[in-house]
Amino acid sequence: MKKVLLIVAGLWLALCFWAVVKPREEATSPILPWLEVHPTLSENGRWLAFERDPEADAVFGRNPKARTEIVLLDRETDKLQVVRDPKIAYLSPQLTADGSRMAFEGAPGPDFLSDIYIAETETLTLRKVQPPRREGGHGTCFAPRISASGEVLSFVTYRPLSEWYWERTVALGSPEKMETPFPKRVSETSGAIALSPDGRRVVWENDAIDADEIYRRRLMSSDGESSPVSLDAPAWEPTLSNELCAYVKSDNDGIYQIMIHDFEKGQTRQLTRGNDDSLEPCLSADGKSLVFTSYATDLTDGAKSGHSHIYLLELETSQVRLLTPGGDGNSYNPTVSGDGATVAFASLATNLGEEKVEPGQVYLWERGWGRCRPVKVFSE
Amino acid sequence: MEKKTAQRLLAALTALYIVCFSILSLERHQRLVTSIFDVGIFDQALYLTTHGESLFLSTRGLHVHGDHFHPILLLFAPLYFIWPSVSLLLIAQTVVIAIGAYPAYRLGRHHGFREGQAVLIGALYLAHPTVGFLNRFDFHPVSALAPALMFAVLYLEEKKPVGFTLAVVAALCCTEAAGFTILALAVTALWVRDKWWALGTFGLGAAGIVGTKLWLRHFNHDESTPYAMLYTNYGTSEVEVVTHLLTHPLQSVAQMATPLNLEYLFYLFAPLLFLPLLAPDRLLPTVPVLLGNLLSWRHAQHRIENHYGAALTAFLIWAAVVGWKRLRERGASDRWMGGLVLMAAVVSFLLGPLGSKHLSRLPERASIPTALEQIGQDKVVVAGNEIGGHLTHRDKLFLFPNPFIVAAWGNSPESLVQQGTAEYRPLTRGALRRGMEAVSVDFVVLSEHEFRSEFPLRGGDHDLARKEIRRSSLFEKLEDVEGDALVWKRKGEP
Repeated sequence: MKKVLLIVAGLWLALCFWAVVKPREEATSPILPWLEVHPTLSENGRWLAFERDPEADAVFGRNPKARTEIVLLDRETDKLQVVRDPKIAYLSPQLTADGSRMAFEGAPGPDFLSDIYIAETETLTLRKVQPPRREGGHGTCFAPRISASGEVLSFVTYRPLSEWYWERTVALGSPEKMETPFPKRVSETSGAIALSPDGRRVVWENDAIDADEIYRRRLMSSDGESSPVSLDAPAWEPTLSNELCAYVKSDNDGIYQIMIHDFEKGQTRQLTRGNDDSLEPCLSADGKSLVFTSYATDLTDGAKSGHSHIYLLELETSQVRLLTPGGDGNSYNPTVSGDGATVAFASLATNLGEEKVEPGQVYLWERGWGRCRPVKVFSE
Repeated sequence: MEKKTAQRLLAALTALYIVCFSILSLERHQRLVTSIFDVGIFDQALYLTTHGESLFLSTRGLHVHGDHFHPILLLFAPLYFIWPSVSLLLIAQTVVIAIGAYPAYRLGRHHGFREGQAVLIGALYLAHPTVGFLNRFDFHPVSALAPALMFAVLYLEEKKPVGFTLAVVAALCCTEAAGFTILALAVTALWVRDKWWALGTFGLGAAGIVGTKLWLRHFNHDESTPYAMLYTNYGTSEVEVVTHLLTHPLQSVAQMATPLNLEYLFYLFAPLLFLPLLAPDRLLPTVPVLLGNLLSWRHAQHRIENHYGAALTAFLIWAAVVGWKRLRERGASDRWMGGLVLMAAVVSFLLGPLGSKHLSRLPERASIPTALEQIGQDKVVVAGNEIGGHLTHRDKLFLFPNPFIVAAWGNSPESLVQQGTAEYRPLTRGALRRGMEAVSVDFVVLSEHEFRSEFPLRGGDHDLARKEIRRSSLFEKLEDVEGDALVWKRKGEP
């Protein structure tokens, strides 16, 4: 009996061994091609910052040690700086009006949660913003927004709603003292928040469940002193100038369109009527220009079907301009300088500039340029 | 009671346990209560291992051996060659856990209990909530830890070094955390046996800790796994955490004394009539894992309903047996104690997953369409957590919303935070749509509202991601699929 058991055990282990050593196929990986994303411009258009992920091309086999870095370009002097750390990924940069300071996210921090950092762009001196509330595993911080002067900061963080559930909420304050000033649930957010250039108003997507048990994304607005008020619902992706709020809303056909709300006049109007989604609006600080991403092919001539393109809309004249004509890949994450004269965006297109480039670049467009130009900074 | 009768009774109880828990596990799978985390992960791991596929786990975003140390899983491979199925895993897990009743029975006999009383001790093991919930929690190789440690304890008491070594090695092959338990067992071995047993046990535990660390680094791009971050309230490494506990003992105890932790401790000790507290020397090996559970910020570790008690059961039973023996030595009546222990076994069984409280929470049986079986193994599938366990036999199965948006994927600290607290960078519609366009996914399979699991997203984000699938022009919904699954196929896919 013992012998039989030993033989069975031996055979069993041999089969286990065979399962381990048998020849294997190599994994083929889906590709995620975006390398450079989330560009941001200072109001004067002099400074450009964006994320760069050196390993963002393959889903499988990604080197976990690779960390996203922030590229900072002074367009006046062509001085290029890279904010990187071998252990921390730097993400979501936001510049002040003069570009002297930059807020961004660093993940993971010493306690493994994301932090918000402020950097002086000339010296790249970094300092960490104290999060409003932090306990092991809870209280991570994302998506910073900084006012034109750099004195007001807002970002997404978490605070306890019950012993084990932390709601995602809006943090607002100065870089020296951040708080979560809005009532619970009212300030529960999906994470899309906007801060006006003067730092006096914050708008966020509220993500609390409503009476019908539907997550109805409601745009809440507050000047930080009075109680938050509802702007619209369901509505998404707010962007602010001092007087205006642009955002995304679904039309009667279920297509996402760009809307604009004037706080002084209390009026809201629809800006786009495209045949496909328009998303990611970004208002210039002077409130005269708006850039956005759109899959629509009927906003202007020249938009290639099947790809998202970048448009510039002059709000005073309602003139729409396609910045990525004939682009052979998606363009996205647009941002605009304070006067609307400079636009930056990321793109998977290879044919937007004079020469063909690899997909996954950040591009710049300026009034007076015939075509947009890729920001070629990566030969180093 | 005669030995033969007692052993038959124990076999009958064990068989009853296996039948009941096999049915429960299979029913949970059919009712979409099991999920990609964890049955899908291990089913895919075995599928890849036995089918000569690359050992990259698309469900988790890492190497099969890059997250936990569980070579014991390979012992299932020969069975998997014959019947590659989640059902096999669930039944095999039940059998492996149930085997622990036998060493529990023998432990009772070793300590001088009569046959009937020893059977009762075996029943206590089977009825203990840590065992039942370990069995109920999907599938996890750590389940084998409970019987392996039960055998280790038995052989330590019976002074059988070969059996003890084999049992300890088996335990070490269940999880990387077992090394710490074995180190603590070395201290008890010094108490129970002698310094040579203690030294040997210590050596095995230390080798286990070092070996598993090297193993995990090898399969994780030369990086440590991020689990030390579960204790960031106390430090960012094992050394820092232990230092904090030693230098701030009162503060640490105060931090641990939460209602949830007290409830957890009640569920551990009450089913054994608090007898283990009479044998603290036998409870010592529970300290590393018990502290790990009580100190972690991960909610699931403070709940009896999960698999985090696997390393505790054997020592709780051992301490209960010795505690009962010590009561006997002080003159406690066998009849009264036997009656109380029997009552405790029945009550704790009812407190466990087969109690009405938990059974009543099971949803209705889901109707899982046969169309799912027709999705080819070469297809790239994205599935909801609840239904993904039915689609794991392929090398590219992703947990929704991966790979469109990366969430709880890979072995980064961010991934662990997302798994434990759902704290992650917000989703955007544009990024989701671009993700859908960039990665060629053939099928997206979710389930009807009443079965859906929002993990790893928050409710609103899950809602948003589902909505974007529904409105995407890249996918078409297969309207002819009947049942509780919702299937979208990439347009143009045959």
